[in-house]
Amino acid sequence: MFAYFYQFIDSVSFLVLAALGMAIIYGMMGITNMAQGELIMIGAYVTDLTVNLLGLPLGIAIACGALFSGVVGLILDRLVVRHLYDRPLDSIVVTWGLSIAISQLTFIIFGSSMKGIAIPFGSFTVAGKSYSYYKLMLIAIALVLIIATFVVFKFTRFGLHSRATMQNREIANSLGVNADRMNAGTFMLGAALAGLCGGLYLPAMALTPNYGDSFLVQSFVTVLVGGADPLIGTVFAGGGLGFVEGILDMRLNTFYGKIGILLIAILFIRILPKGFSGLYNSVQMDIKTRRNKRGGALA
Amino acid sequence: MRKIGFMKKVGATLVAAMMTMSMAGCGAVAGETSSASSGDTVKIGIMSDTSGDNALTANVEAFQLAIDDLNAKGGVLGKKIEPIFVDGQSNTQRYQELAKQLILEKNCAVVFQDGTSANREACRNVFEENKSLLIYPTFYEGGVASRYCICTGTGPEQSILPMMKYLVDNNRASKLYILAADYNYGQISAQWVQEYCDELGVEVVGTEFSPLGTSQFSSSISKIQDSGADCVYTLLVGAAQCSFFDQWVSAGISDIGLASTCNICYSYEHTKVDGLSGMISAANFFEEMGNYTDTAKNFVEAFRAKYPDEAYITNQAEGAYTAILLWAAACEKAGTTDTEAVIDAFDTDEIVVDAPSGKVSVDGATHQAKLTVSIMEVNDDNVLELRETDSDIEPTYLKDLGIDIRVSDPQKQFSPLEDGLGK
Repeated sequence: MFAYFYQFIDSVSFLVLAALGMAIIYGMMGITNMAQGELIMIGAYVTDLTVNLLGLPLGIAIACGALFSGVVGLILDRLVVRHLYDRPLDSIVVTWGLSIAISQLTFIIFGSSMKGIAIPFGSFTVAGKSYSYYKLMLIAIALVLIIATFVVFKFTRFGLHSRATMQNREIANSLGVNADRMNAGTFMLGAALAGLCGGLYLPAMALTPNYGDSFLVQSFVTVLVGGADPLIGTVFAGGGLGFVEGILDMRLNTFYGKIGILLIAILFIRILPKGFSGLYNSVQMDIKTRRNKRGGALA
Repeated sequence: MRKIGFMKKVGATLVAAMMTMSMAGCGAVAGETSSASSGDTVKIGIMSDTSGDNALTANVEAFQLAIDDLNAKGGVLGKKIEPIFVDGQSNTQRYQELAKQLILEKNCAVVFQDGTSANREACRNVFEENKSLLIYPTFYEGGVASRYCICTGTGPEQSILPMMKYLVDNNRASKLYILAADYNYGQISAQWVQEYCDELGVEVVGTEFSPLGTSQFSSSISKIQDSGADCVYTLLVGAAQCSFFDQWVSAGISDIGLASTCNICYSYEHTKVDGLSGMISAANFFEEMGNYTDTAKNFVEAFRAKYPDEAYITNQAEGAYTAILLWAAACEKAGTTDTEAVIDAFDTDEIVVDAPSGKVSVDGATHQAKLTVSIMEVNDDNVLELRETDSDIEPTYLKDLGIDIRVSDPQKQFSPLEDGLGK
């Protein structure tokens, strides 16, 4: 039983950590960032170099990776993505091109593979089977990040302004919100979260210029199934897809896990094109209208 | 308006950049139709994945090293070798197209393809149709019988069988779990592992195939622990699948061993993952062979002098180097670089070279190589230690099927899945 639970949280943390950055960028800016995988890869490379060349502890190295990816995200936004704010479809092609260029550049500079680093914390045993503590820490970090995202977007000025920009750019602009700066900040935040994910998974994975590919499909599907709301979407999509993938991986094998995720994506596009966020919104609207109706009857 | 102008420029640049990239990948420069050996050069084609999931090993460097060595000694038959490198981008669909370009547009005298079996099988028929020679230097699942394809790496009877015998002789495996990449190499090799297990009395308690590109293995690790196996036989391919070893070490499993005829020797996990001590790998070459034999030492030193930053010299890289030497030897014997004459030279059983891994010769009847295979174990310092060396291992599989390509050319790949010998 614990094996299933472990598999479930393993899938969920992977999906949530991989998708959160992309979900924020997609939800707030409407931009599908196909270079998200490469931002993840950059975070992992910086983490790797910080540990292996500078000898800093892993935690600090991961923070450096996240920060560096954030800065790269900011530069990409100012140079390229800024010009595509109103052209969501073009942004897919352009960011895809960027991703190819970045991964090939990394290949030219650093070669085909990196040394990698050892997984910290060791392992524990449940019912005769060994598991890694590090994977448990990943789910904890995923939960903390979700809560942090919630706090940032609900309770800070930045969150308020970016939600305003998301709802109506022109009006937010005219009310004194610098929408351009909001977008740059959002893109940077999304990129930094990608870098964080890259650094966090570095000890558990082989590092190559194609490191990001392992994350891209999963994060893309999670965002697709989740919809525009980065919080509701990521939590429900990560949980739901993680559940399905975990069960299929354990009962059958990873091949069916992958198929399962893609099938769900197809079903969602067909039945719920706005994803979990759309479902959540319509349920909320439903409740509101019912309440209003009842209120109207009383008056 | 200014903004639109800028965007157009950015768009155009990106499109141009992408086109350049794909062009560079194809190596398609139109209008070049000079013959294979015009004047004092001879063109050879080299296909490998230098980008993408399979771009792990230093094939191109090893090919280049062999070509430079030969050219420094005057080339082949007095002609300088001019390599044309093309990148398959870890995309099997490109290989048909690349093969056609190298044969028909570039008129290469011979084409080397170092990489996956999927890529080889995708393009082998192009060589057969055009009566052009393909040399495949990578270790593989065996069974390719074709006049126009020569496999100079190890087959299953030369790598998997010695490995299984070693495991059994040293009581390292009584219950085996097979974890393989889900494509022709992994599927057929897993079948071979199963065959040899049956032969040697080892119980196979689980077989699992992972899609290429899989990077999360916790469900596999869980199943391996459930299976009661005392050894896992890995046939994992590509950069992403190497993640299995990181995750295996982090699960802290101490009572299950690891063995492979593909990992360590081809994807050098022991240099990247700390804690694989005790894992065994069998292949004809490892960089650490330089600590044991002079031929390997000379090769490693020459390679390192030229490419000091390369992560590891894999068995695939050594295979690439050796394949060039074998082809050059066949040309010298034939007195020409013409395809049919070179194949006839190979068919004499007399093409032998002193490769970094030891003596390598080509068997004319089956177009497989006779070579030396070593079994290595990862020690506590993540360095390989030699456990056993088997010299001059014959390629027996196709012979046992009664195949002699010189008599009749089947132009197909045999495997235990369908040859009637297996179950």
